Amino acid sequence: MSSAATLRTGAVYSLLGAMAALIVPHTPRLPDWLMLTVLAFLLWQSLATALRWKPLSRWLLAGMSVAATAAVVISFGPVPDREGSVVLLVLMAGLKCLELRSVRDAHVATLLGHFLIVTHFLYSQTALLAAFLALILLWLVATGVAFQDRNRTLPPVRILRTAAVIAGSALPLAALLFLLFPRVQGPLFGDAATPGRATTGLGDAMSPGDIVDLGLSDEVAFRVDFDAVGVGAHEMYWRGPVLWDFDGRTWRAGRRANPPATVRAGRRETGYRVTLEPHGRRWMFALDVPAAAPAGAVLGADLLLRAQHPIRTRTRYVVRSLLDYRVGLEESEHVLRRALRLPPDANPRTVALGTLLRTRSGDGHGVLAEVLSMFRQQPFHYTLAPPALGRDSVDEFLFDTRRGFCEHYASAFAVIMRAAGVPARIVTGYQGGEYNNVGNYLVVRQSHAHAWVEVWLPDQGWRRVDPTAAVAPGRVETGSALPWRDQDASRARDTGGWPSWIDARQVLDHLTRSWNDWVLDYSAERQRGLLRYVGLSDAGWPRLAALLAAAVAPAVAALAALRLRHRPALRADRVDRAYARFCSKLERVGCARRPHEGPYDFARRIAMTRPALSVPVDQITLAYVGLRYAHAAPVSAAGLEALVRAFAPRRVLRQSGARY
Amino acid sequence: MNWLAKLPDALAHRLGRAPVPPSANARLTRERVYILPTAAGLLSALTVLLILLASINYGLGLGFALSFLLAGIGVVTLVLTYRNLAGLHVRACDAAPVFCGTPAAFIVDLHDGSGAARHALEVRARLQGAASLADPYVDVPAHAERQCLVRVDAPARGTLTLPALRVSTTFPLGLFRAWSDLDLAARCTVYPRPEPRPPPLASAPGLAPGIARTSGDDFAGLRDYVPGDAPAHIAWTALARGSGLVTRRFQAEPAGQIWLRWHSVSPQLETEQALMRLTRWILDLATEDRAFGLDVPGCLRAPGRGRAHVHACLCALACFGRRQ
Repeated sequence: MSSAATLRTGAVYSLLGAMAALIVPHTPRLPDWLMLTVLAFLLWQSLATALRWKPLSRWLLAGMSVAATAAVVISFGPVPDREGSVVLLVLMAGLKCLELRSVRDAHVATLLGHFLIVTHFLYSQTALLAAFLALILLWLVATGVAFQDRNRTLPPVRILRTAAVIAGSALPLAALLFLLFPRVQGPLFGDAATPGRATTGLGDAMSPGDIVDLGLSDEVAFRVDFDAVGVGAHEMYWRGPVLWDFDGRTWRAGRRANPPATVRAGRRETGYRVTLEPHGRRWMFALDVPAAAPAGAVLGADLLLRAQHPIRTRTRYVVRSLLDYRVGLEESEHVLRRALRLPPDANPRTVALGTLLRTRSGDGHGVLAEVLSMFRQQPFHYTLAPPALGRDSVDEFLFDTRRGFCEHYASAFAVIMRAAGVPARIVTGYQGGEYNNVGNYLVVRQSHAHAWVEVWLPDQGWRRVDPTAAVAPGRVETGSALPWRDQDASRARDTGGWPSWIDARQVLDHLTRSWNDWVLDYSAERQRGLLRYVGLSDAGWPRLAALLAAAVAPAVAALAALRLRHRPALRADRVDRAYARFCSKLERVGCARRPHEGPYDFARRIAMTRPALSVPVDQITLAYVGLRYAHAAPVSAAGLEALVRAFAPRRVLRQSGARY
Repeated sequence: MNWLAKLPDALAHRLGRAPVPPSANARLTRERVYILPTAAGLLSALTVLLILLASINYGLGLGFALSFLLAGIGVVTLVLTYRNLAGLHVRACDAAPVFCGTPAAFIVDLHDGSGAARHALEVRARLQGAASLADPYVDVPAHAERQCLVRVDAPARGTLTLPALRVSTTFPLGLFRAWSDLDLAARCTVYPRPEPRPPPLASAPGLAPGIARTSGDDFAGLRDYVPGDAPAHIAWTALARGSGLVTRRFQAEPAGQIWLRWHSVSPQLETEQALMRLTRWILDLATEDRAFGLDVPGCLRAPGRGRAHVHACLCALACFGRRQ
């Protein structure tokens, strides 16, 4: 086998660089010692290449491989999980880079590089990352070409061009395969949840005193395509977990399940399709209130949709929701008692207020109106940076600080209602959304997270009340947790004729959504949809395979035809072209120039065999030779062309009576 | 991967493709070019499969994209590797004569006729034990011609024909090897090996009488030039005076002619040994630029000198006892 010295040095550096570019982005995820070790390997090899050190012995490398495997097994167990596999792969790639002796070693290192590309997809699959890794792949291909250029004659530009031709020609084939290759729904083995995504978004508990970070997150919670327009902003309450149990400070969903509520449907309803980003919990968001559960989910007692498994991959479902409804008119005594329970010794001032209101107003409707007008008229402020609250959080908020956001208002409102003897519960979820005009869909972000209250009135059942709307109507109208004044200010900036940042953001989000739909989540189902769209319904495996073959074969044939076609030589210059015309004229009268004949020999032979032609032939030959080989020529190139044009051997021979 | 190396031959045998009769040049038409994945190519295919499985398992849309892109690159490489060879013109020239035991060097011309630059073409003789070249790779630019040298050991005197050649390539990515086997008609005369330490020429019995063992430096006049005369003996001064090409004669020459005769060496030596000795004497005489004649069974050459004469005599020895 060839030694390290025979590997092209530049290609070795290029390979090491590509490997480094593949490994370094893993830095935040993988242990530091691993990064340092592997980068040290790469550095060693580049030094060894530059300084022509002797390659490390195979025994040493084998020992290091065994040690690395053992280290991974000890740290991650005998069957490493995903992170363990990535660590092992990174280590192996680094070790292989230490053993670059032959072209074959380089090839194996390149293949490990391909695996490293996949490890990145386990953590993120954004279009930006994909573009970066596509460049790295091109780089790896170019490196492979450089290793195969055995004589090292190709300049880097040509190598890059060859790599670009290879990758560019592969793209159409890859696209066909991507669309038509029969897709199987995973997983095939093991737990295949997308890692790197802890639970995000709403939890099943709420403590108004704690710092909020959710409200400021721009992360997308879900996207919605409506079948038809007609849902007002004030109706966009995306129902999430319902919180029943309050301990004076924190609201919890509680473990006990209530009996199912009865729902009486009104006339208005709407259908829509939700694309839910993974959040690690089981609930699925729907507009208040969902009419029925989509496939694979159940409609719980609190009218909350729950999936069978925690949602760890992007999930799509179609739901219908009722916009006019009456819920829980016949609610059981047991449930209503639960909705009145308060901790005995917490928030005494609020409890006293509730009792007072009850005696003053008489029934639930009166209390409701009183409290809402209190929020509206007294100096309550909506802010995302409220002061911290102590033990009796509701008391402190209502009577002292009076600054807070939806959680504070909902919590305080529910406590007052319960103290006044009106059953109340807190509903968390999202409110509003951001309409994307580019793609005509609604984006709901984590910043749209919201909490509101449902109170039970004997004649209405559970009725939704949003105390935050009383304080900050803008919160509900614009559908954002940002203080509505700021929102207005940013709106005002956008009214110029130029594409504003919000448009750019919409375009970007639309691109992200298309990327998700067509690249990341292109599934068996979506493939069937596409084929149905082009008129192929119910395409099973055999049919799909046949279609794939029918599509790929012409593509390969076209590629082959393009690559194997004959390419004529660069057109000769006008002098050569004129002489070639002269020769072909003579060929037509039976005087073909022989391959070994120079112009003079040719002319001499013609003078002997066709004396009638000798004068013009000599003239043209002298002109051609003069133009081609001498410093001074008897005529110019144009003159030669004119001579050749005037040259008519057939006529001359006919006039001279010679037979040919 | 030994079986992999043998696969091409086995496949060609199984396909029963009729061998193309030898000719001086050949064009690698499409039916003469074979292509199969290399070990590296198979390993790449396995990689693509593993990436595909991982993508299915983890639902990685981009993993699918990567595996399909790599598969596409494989198909493109197949076409490009094939193109790197198909349409190439190959021509072999007769090699300069060599002495038995030294390798013959055949010049093989590779010419691109289809306008595609070709890279890293590997030309090897398929003969077992044929010496491989230090640097067997050739690049041929579009519409251009490049030569490469194929060295073949010459173990026996006589005529050596160029063994079957294999032109192959793995460019651009080493995933496939395209190859074509060529039987090119090119030959090389292999002279007998000169005897290392022969007895001096004069001592040989049966030489023509009257050999004057003079130093051969004594100038003895001028004669007309005959083709084959050594340039050193041409009277350049006479040429400058305008009297045409004349050759200086030396005293040794007319004194007598040397005849190398078979029966003068044969009885004591075996055939091959005798041929080796005659070869050595011919070389010695040629070095001294003396005229000599050769008389062996089946070939009688009048005394003469010069390269053509020497070659003719050595050829006669090379083919001694063999059908031409």
